Amino acid sequence: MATRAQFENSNEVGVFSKLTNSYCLVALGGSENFYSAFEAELGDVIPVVHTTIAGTKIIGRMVAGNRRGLLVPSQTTDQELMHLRNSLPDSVKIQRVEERLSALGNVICCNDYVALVHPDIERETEEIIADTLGVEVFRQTIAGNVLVGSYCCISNQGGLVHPQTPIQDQEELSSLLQVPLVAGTVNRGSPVIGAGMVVNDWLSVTGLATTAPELSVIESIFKLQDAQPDAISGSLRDTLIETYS
Amino acid sequence: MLLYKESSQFIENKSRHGSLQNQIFGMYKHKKLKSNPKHVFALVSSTLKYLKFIKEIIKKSCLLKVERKSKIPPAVAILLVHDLLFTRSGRIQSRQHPWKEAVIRNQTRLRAEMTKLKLKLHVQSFDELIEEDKTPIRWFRANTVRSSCEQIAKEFNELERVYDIKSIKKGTIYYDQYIPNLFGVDPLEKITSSAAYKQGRIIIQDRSSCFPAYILNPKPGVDKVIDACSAPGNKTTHLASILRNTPNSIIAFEKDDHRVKTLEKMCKMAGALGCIEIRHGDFTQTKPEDFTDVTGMLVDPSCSGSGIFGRAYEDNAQKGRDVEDSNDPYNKTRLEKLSNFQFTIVKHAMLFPGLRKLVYSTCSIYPEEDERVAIRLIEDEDLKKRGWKFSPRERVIPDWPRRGRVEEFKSFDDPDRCAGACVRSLPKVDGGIGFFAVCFERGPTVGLDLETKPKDDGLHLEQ
Repeated sequence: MATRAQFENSNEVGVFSKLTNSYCLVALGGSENFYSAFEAELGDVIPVVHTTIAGTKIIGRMVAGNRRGLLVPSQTTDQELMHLRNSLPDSVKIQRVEERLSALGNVICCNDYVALVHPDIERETEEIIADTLGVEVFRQTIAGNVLVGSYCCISNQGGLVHPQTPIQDQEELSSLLQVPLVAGTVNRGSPVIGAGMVVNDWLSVTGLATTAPELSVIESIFKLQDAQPDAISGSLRDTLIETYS
Repeated sequence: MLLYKESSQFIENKSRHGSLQNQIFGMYKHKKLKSNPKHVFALVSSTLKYLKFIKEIIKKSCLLKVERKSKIPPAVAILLVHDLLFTRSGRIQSRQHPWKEAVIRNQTRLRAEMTKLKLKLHVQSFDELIEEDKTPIRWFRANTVRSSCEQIAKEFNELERVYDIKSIKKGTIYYDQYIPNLFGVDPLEKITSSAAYKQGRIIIQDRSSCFPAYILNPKPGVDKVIDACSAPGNKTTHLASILRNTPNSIIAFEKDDHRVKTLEKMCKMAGALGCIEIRHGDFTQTKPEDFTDVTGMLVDPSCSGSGIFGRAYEDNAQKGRDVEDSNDPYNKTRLEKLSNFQFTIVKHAMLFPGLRKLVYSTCSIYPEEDERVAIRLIEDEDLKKRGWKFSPRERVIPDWPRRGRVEEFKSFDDPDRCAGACVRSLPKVDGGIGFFAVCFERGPTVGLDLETKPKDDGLHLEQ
């Protein structure tokens, strides 16, 4: 399912929400329309938690997480941490990270198996990511951008990267991540994929400005619909590198 | 951490003599090593195998830069990373230690770099890039002194017999078509734990190294033979097998103090001490006149060992360290020295008055030690006078396809026939080590009488 939503007249839904396979975080102060975009799909399956991080609404940029865990920056207040702990399933580990690059959502991009991180992230943070999220951690850039969390969006099914990512990089990333990747945009041409959308294995929410072609690429690369346009899935298979397990 | 500290010297060691295994166990014997030598050997040999990948991973992960404070010696870091990433358990076998902790702190990065390196090289596992350095076939020979071919065949009858060398796999056995009493099995077959091996009824010996004794083919009760360079004694016991353990039919020379013990052990194991007389001494110092009754000779002197494999990782590691390595098998001066020595010892052997047949062999794949030594011998005036000639192919395993290099003999009238006196095997391709053997003989009428012209059963080499 791929839906479109807006948060306070902003199309950057990835900034104000965080979606994983076992929980969803949404910022406080949104409209009921925004919340219902998530709750309609997730309501019964995974918790949708309304929260702030360090008193801000830009939670999607502040936290990083997957099915197994959630990393929050050191500025997160004890109250927020307590709230998250009470709201998230017990299986989800919550870990505060003392990292200079505190916008974790911008510097970490992960699915349930692999995390791509900013090349200058601290070594301790790298270890915490591996331990808490149970992933392999790779220092990467995307189309020359160090903010990997901002310029790509990945799930266990596939990934969307900055539109100017060279084919060679795409292939390398795709073999690291073990999922097909495609270069594309959201929100009518925005290259800031991570900020413009959130995705898990069965739902994506993008900004309201996202065009129909953008949405169809998203649906097919993240395998959000059973029926997929053959053209795209066929050409995507080529990017799958099967030599690596 | 002691294990790693002690092992690290073998990773960076520059001046090495002998195989890794000998060095490690030698040091253990001399109490220079406290760790279990088996562990050290396993660790070091596996590390050398993956050395270039480990170095790359360490470099890419900046391990030594990040952990500058803990001052890990690079060689120890290599060993620690090996244990962390390349072993099944992925554990560093040490109690708490700052070096161990430093490596563990970086394990995520190290693992990531390993994955990236694999992707870069397009492999699933580094093993795909490592050339198997094992014998393709494990050869063993029925020791007819203690047993018989039929009995051994019966002992291994749970293995299915195959008729082609290429179809040897686990659970099958191949009866060699060239050498009698010789069997080939898959290297994974646990031959060394079989009762037959422990009781000396079979002897593990590569097929090509069975060639010399088989070519010499002495007659029991008639011939008396000398093995000039015997240790470790596989060829010697093979001779004993062919001579049906006839008392006093073999004299085995060995110069080295240590190796003579090995020789004795092997002969005892094979139950062949009754026919083998071991002489601890230098063969080149013997007086040919003292051995008038000797009719056959096996000379397998020291050689570069270039046909032997199983030491490739060690060698590669060594080559990477310094180019001017004296242990580089293909080193001109060394080859020259060796071939001079080989020529001297075989020539000395050919001066024995009663000698009729001599087999010279090396486990080298270089013509310098193979055909060229043979040519020097056959062209030697002294030996020509004594009537030494190349044997005809009919008496030198005629069916074996790989003969001497014909181009080496092009100065002769009949290069093909000269090459026919030699047999060669290439490492792995021919199912074992690389090997060379050549057979010389002289007519029965020659003896000390140099005037008589030898019979025309060999080759004419007058030029």
